[in-house]
Amino acid sequence: MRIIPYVLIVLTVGLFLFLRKCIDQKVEKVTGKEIVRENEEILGTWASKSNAAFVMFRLRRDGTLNYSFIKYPATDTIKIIGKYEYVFSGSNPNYFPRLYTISDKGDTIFNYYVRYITPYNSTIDKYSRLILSPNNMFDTVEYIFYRIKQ
Amino acid sequence: MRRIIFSYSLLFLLQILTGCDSNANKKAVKVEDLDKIIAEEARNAPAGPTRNNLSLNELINLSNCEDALCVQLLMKELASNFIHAKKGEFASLNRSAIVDTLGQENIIPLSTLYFTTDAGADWRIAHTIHKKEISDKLMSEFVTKGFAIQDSGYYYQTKAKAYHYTSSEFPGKMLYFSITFSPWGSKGLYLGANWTSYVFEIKNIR
Repeated sequence: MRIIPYVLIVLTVGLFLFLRKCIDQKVEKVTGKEIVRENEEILGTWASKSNAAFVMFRLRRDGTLNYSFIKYPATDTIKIIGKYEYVFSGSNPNYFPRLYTISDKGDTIFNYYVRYITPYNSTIDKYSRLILSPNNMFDTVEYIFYRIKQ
Repeated sequence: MRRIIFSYSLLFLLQILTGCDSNANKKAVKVEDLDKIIAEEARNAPAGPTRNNLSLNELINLSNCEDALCVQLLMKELASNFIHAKKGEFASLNRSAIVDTLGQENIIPLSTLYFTTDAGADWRIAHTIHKKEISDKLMSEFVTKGFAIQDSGYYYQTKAKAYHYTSSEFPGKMLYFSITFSPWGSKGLYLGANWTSYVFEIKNIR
């Protein structure tokens, strides 16, 4: 009989998570926005801007990708629809997780290491950032993206 | 029973209230504010590595080394700019796109310092630069310190012609400068290298 309170706690937590997931999915469907939870920080819309170009991409929960690119001084926006993969590299710290983005025609848009992503409960970062890097940990070339309000 | 129903109703209400709440989404920015935020973040960013290559004095000091321990001790002071990548290989933390003979851009360290680690091999320390502008700058530093060309000849280590420079300010030291595709055989970064490298080596002459 002593086990019943523990079972109830587990059931309650499980129900909470299940209901939250259901509500998140419903809200995402209605609003068209990603509800980002812990360990899902990669999801959502990211953008970066320089004097040369503006890049924005949206990573959806279902693995689809929307990629927009403007190369200045032109103002035409190149829009690509495709898919993405977020691949973990195991325990080797020399290699960060990788983000592959592939267009629906099968062309690779980019294939970079995810050097840093603002953790869900971060109290350090004022803005949610995603840092992509073409090489591994010894690299200093990085592309910083910011999470965009959808 | 009522208490349980009440608890679960409360849980459900809490669920509704936190349904759209996401800490990550709270830190999102508006597209129109992106310029302002990038500028703000750049101002607050910590300082990164500041140097691309070693200086003349550092190369002279390194040329006095006769073993790996001595090189590592001297390079330890430059740890904020040069990383100890592997045994016998230091690479500058500053990287850039270097165009190879195929016209492809490779993002590699702007310079390296390699020294002999193979047992039985001749002792050698070479500072290799991957951009002409940086090489020219370092060479002008040598010229300012009185280094003048004395001789030239094929240098088997770089598989290219090496120009020999000496200076009365640094007696017993000779700079070997070569422009090559093979700065250090087939080791580390230079395994299959096909970009132009500028190699600086200080030899001790007696």
